[in-house]
Amino acid sequence: MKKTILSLFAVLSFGYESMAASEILKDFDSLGGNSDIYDKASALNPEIKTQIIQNRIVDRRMRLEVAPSYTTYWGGNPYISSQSAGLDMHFHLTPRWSVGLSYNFQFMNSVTDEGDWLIQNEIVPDVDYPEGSILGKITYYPFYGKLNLFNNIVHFDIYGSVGGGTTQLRFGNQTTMTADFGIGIWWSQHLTTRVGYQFQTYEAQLKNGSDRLNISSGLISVGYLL
Amino acid sequence: MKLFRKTICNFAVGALVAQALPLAAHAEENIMDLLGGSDAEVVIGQDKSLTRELRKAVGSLTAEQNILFNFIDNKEFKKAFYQWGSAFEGKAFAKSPTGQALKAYLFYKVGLEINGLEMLMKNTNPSAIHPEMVAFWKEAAPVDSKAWKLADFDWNPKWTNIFGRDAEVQIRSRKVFDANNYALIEELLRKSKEDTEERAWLEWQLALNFALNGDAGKGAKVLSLLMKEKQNFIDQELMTITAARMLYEKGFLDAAIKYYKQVPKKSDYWVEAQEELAWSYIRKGEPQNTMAVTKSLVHPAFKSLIGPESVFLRSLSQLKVCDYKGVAQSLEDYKSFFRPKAANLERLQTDNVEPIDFFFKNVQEKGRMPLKKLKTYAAHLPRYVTRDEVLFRLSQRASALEDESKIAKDLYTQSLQGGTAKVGFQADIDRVKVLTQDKYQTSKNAFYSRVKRLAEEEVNEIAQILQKMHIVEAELLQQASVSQDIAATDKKDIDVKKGSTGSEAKDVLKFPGSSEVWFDEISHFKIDVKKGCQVSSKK
Repeated sequence: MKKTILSLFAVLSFGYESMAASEILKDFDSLGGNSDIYDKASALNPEIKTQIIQNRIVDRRMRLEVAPSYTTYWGGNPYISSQSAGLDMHFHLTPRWSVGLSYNFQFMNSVTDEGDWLIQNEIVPDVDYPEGSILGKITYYPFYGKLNLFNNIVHFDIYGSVGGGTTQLRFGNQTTMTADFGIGIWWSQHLTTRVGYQFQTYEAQLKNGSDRLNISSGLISVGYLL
Repeated sequence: MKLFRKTICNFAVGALVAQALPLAAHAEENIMDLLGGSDAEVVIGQDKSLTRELRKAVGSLTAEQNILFNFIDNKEFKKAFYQWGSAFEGKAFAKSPTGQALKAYLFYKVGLEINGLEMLMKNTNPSAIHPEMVAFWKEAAPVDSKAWKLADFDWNPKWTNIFGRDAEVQIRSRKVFDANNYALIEELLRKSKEDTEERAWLEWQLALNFALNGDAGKGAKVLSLLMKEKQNFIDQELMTITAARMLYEKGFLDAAIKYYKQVPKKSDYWVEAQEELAWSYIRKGEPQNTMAVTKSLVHPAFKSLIGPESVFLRSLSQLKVCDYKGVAQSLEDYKSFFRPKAANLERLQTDNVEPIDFFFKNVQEKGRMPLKKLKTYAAHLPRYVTRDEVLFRLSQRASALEDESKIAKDLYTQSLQGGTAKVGFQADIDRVKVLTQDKYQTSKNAFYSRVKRLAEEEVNEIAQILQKMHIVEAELLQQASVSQDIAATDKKDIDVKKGSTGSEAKDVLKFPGSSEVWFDEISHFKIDVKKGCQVSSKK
């Protein structure tokens, strides 16, 4: 050990200015490589916690996001299958919270295989199909992450929303409760995309009385942050 | 035969114009008509401010001299340039101040502007130059023209009366690269005009002068004035980092840290700002922050951009928190980063000039070049090349001289049909070609020498820090050998050093640090150190 230290200080006693060019390269070779000795210091093992603390790429404080959306529904009444187009508006209070309003128009209510079977057997299915909905929501974004897309870093948030509103059905309006979760991707200061799952519940008016329908849907929207 | 007749005509016109100027205008016209004079010759008669006085200064004119003056009057400078040898070579006038100025003027007017201006400035007695010649020069070469910015000569104070203070300040301030010369800076500053490049440069030098001489307070005042001025001659980021350095020198570390952080990532000064930021933290007694800042710098992408001090500093901060594994890694990093760089820079000084060729060509064509544009050549060039003001000016001068060299070459090849009296290539034009080529080559050589000198300085710096790294290693070995004792005698209270680096924005994102570093994470590290140089709680 002593020898090692002495030899190191012997190297230091040469002035660097007097060192010939090739000597510098040789001197590099003598640096490091004493791992056996470093291991002796294992009693001192500081806990080093490294974190990355960085800015959000997209500012989401007091900004309005306007997002045309497409939703496809499943569950609920077994005889029809619906698809809707809509317009969602999310006002971002902070990156964690936003409030929103969503209008949907059912542009397609098609008969399912079950419904088709009934019709072919001359039975009219009992259906109170939806025509549209207006829902208010409050959204919380608890988790975030980032993606490396072809060396472009994109931030995203996982969100969850709850809300309520009205669904316009064939036989009148019905109070509707909704809950959804999904992922919001912030491509740039203005362009956004959301992909999510949505649950809705309301009562449909059927011939035999009211029937609570629990409907699932998948949503995708491409928005613009003002 | 035609040539002979034209010469006779020119001679006659020249002689008549020189000797019989008081003639009435209509009489002149008659003579011109009689001799079949051209429009050019009419111009001579009408323009009393052009070469008339110069012709008088020459005295009795030969035909060749008359032809030359006629060309000048007619603004046929290329022809006049070719005519110079026939007209004045070996004559007393050619050696006179006015004759020299006239020759330089012809150089200037055919496109050899820098050569012409430098030729003019060789004249040691400018007051003896004929006033008409001076007027020609003033009109042709205003002080804001390119030639003034690129010409290289020592200013003779006698020229100030002719070209004014602006020219003097422009030429002399360009040579102020020694910020220690306070008297010169002050003198030129007083003579300089506001909102000019020279004024900004001198204010910058004054700020540096104060800072280098231990008066950082005054330096900061000058710098703050400069930063408020609407000028773009001195790089804003260079001023920011300089302000930070002044604050650091005075011990205002928190303020210095704020300034260092203002240097954006895209800046060529960012690496240096980060390194100095890390120094500020270690001076504040916050080695955990130094570790966080230098973690960005040792990213492999910065291998050829960082200075050797960055790794040394990192090892020092690791040593301070007893992160011996980290120190060992830093020793390895130093070797892997700077051994190849030192070897590359040594080769640059001896046999591998390809990186300099690349840099020279690009900076000549595109002007200032950001560090990232060096691409793979960055590993073979000194890290300051893109910011070196001397190199930039040398490249600009070389570029302009290369253009002039091409012009001279064209003039030479055209001299057969361009010269009037001589047949064949002219020896004096050939000399001009050689002169311009030599000047370009000298300027280019100066550029190459400067790069090599910077390379030599960087190798010395690497060697110097290498010695310090050996000291760090010795310290590491020493501490490792006694670490058991330290652990046994250490206090029970757990020491926690919380980092304060990373983003300070309102809405931050936090991610755990891992061995894989994404590029957006650079400069956003925060490191907390617990139980640095203390015994593990388990033991």
